[in-house]
Order: sequence, then C-alpha cells, then structure tokens
Amino acid sequence: MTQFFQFTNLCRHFEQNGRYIMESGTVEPGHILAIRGPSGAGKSTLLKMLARLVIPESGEIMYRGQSWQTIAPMEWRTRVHYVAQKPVMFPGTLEENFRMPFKVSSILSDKVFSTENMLQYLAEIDLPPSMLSQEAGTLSGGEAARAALIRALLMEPEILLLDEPTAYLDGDSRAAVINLLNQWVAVQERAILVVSHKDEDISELNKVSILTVAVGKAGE
Amino acid sequence: MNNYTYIPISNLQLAFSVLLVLITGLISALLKLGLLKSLIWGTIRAFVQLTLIGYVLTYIFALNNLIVIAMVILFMCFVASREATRRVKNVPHHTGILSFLSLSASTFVVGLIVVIVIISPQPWYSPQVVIPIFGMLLGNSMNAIALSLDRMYSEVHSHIDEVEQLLCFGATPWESVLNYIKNAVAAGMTPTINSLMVVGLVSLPGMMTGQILAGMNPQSAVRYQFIVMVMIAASVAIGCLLIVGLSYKKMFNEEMALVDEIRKN
Repeated sequence: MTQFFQFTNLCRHFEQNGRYIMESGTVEPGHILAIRGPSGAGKSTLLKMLARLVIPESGEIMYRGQSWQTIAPMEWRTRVHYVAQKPVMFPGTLEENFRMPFKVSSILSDKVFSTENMLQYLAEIDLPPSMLSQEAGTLSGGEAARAALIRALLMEPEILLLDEPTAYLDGDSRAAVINLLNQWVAVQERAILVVSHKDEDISELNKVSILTVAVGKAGE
Repeated sequence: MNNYTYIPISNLQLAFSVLLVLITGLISALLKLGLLKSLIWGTIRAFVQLTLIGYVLTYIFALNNLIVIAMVILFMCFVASREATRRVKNVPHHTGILSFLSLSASTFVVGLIVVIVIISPQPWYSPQVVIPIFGMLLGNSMNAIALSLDRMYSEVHSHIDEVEQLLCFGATPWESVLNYIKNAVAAGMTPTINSLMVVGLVSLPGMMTGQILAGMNPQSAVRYQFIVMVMIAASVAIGCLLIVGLSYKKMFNEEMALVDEIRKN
C-alpha cells in the first residue's frame, strides 16, 4: 500500500556541536504526527528538511508514493507547507497578507482565493473580520501566529508542517487553534506534522501519534 | 576667444606641493590620530603610482595599438572587479568572476557607444579618449557594484525568515528576493543619480575642472562632462543590474532554498 507521507533516515549534522539528527516517520491521511524531543534535538530542522528549506545529507521523503525528488521544490512547498514558529507578516493589511501567496506564486495563481474560507477560519479562531483592514505589522504575537496559520490553511496544502503553533497563544486561543487543526485534518486527504512542547496540545489533538526526536552525536 | 593655455608645473612647484602634506601630518600628529605613517606611505605611493602611470600612458598613447589598449582596459576591469568585491561582507561565494563580467559588460557596452557614436575620435580607439573614458566608467561602476552587492547580501541576511516564508508560498528564488534586489540596485545607483542632481551647483567634477585647467573653453568642458555623467549613470545601472542578477542565484542551492552560508548567519 502506498504511504501518504513518509520519511526515512532523514539525516543532517549540525556544524556548531557535531551533533546530528536522523529520523524516520510516517503519517496517514486524517492523522497528526507530533514531534517531541529536548531543545536543540533538531525538531525544527526536521520540519525544514520536510519543507525542503534545508537539504538533508541523506534519507528519503515519499509523498503519495512519489519520491520528493520527482516534485519541483516550489510545488512541494505549497502542498507540504511549513509554518514557522515566529510568524512572518509582510507590509500591508491582514487581508493582503492572506492573499499574498496567491500573488507571489505562479503555482497558486491558478487557485481561487476563498473569501468564505477566510471569514470562516477567522471566526473559528476568534479574530474579528474588522481586523482584515488592520496593518499586519500592528498585530500582537498571538494574533500574528493565528493569522499565519489561517494564511497557510487558505493555501489548501495537503500536509501542514507546524512549528510550535501555540507558542504565542493563551488558553482560549490555544484551544481554538487545536480545535481548528482537528477539524481541518479530518477533511479530505490531509495530515499534520507538528512540533510542540505542550502536553495539553498533544493530548487534545485527535488521531495523534508521537515521534520523539533523539540527539545523535558524531561518531555514534 | 580663449587665449588661455595650460600652465605647466615644474619640478620645484611639484616639490612645493608636498608641503601641503605637512599640514595634514601636523593635524594628525597634534591630535594623535595615528595616521602619520599611512599619510607618508600614501603620499609616496600616490606620487610613484601617478608618475608611473604617466609614463605608461605616454607609452600607450605613442603605441596607439588596439590590442594593447584592449589589454589595458581588461586589466583595469580585473583590478576594479577585485576591489569591488574585496570589502563586501557576508558573501557566501566568490563574486570576483561575476563582478568582472558585470564590470566588463557594462563598461564595454556604454564605453563603446560613447567613443564610437558620440565622441568619434580618429582612429575610433584613440587611447587619449578610450582610456580616460573607460577609466571613469570603471571607477564609478566599481563603487556602485560594491554598494549593490553589499546591500543585497545584508538585506537577505536580515530578512531570512521573510525569504523562506515566500519560498513556502511557492515563490521562486527570484520572486523571494525581488524586493531586496530592487533595493540593492537602487543603492548602487543612488550616488550617481544624486551627483546628476547637484553637478554644477555643489561640485565641479574633476574631469571638467581638469579640462578647464588644461585650457579648454568651459562650455566645451561642460559638454564633455554631461556626456561623462550620463554614460556613468548608464554604466552604473547596467553594472548593478548584472551583478545582482548574476549573483542572487548563488544564495540558493539546487533545492531552490537558501544556502547554509546565508541561513546560519
């Protein structure tokens, strides 16, 4: 049977301390893979390798039975989409930021931006529609983190790579985001890989399995 | 009617000008700036270099040989390209060749247009025209390219998160750094555009001053100066565009992601 998303022996050394990460994992449609491990173990590096922002030294990523090398990086990143821990907002209003991927990417320019989805996502994670005309640079950390997640969902990727999506959020916002992720992943062929330090995040996510990243030392 | 002829400078007059260095040296010594050694060394180097180039130019002018002139200009391009990239920080690769290509292309395209089409000396490669024109183009393009490169790398370094976010939107490397490339080209061109604005009001350019001192009618000197300024602007624009266009790709790897040398800083 063809695996939906699978990575095998993905390896990368860190120049600073001679350590390395080598991990394998798999996630099925509708499921969530939570990536855990101590600080500096390479959890974010693993996500960036999966997003093809960092080149692994060895290993393989398979997506719908296809090797990653058979898919162009630009197309890959819209389908296997990475959301950084620190939200990046560009000059312009919040709505302009939501529409930005559809403007800068020739791959997404064929897709239709869904205003309906935008309003629905805003409502689900407690951001008022009036905020759409607000300068994105004036958003608080928590608002920007939620906005970055909405922007990612509007791109309609199939795999979401989330690095600490609730790091900037308080109780209610955190619960709303976890709820949105559970709803999103349950629809069609979608999966999430999420790095999180918070036990409550992982316990509240549905259909979650855990990958614990271990730090390797050179020579081992 | 202009009866002015240039006043030759005798050896004694030249030696006397060295006294001016004493003023600079005195200020350096009084304020303990620690520049005295550099000042003396700089003065000696300037004198020796200019004397040598005087003899070299006299020899090249007498030869009047196209191949020799072309070799001299290529050598100037080589030196200028090294200088342009030497002080640029955060460069993850050797930009020397790209700098040489950018400088040579911009200088030759604009220089040949100016020499052949506009000034039209006889023969067209007359070294008295070609070498000073190409020299001025190179000097200005060299500084502009250095500014553009420095700006491009510093902008991308300080916006790594933004560039990677744009890549995640499905943007190509070019699309992901386009704003920073525009800023870099503008940074390289700004000093030239500024000098177009103030020329004649704030400053009298060196070339024009030199021609006037050498006895040329100011109105004729002004015509030359105008041509020089617009040709410099054109050469600078082409050079900046070429250097960022050629070198931005070096910031990305075969996966169309930022190279480690950029990411880890």
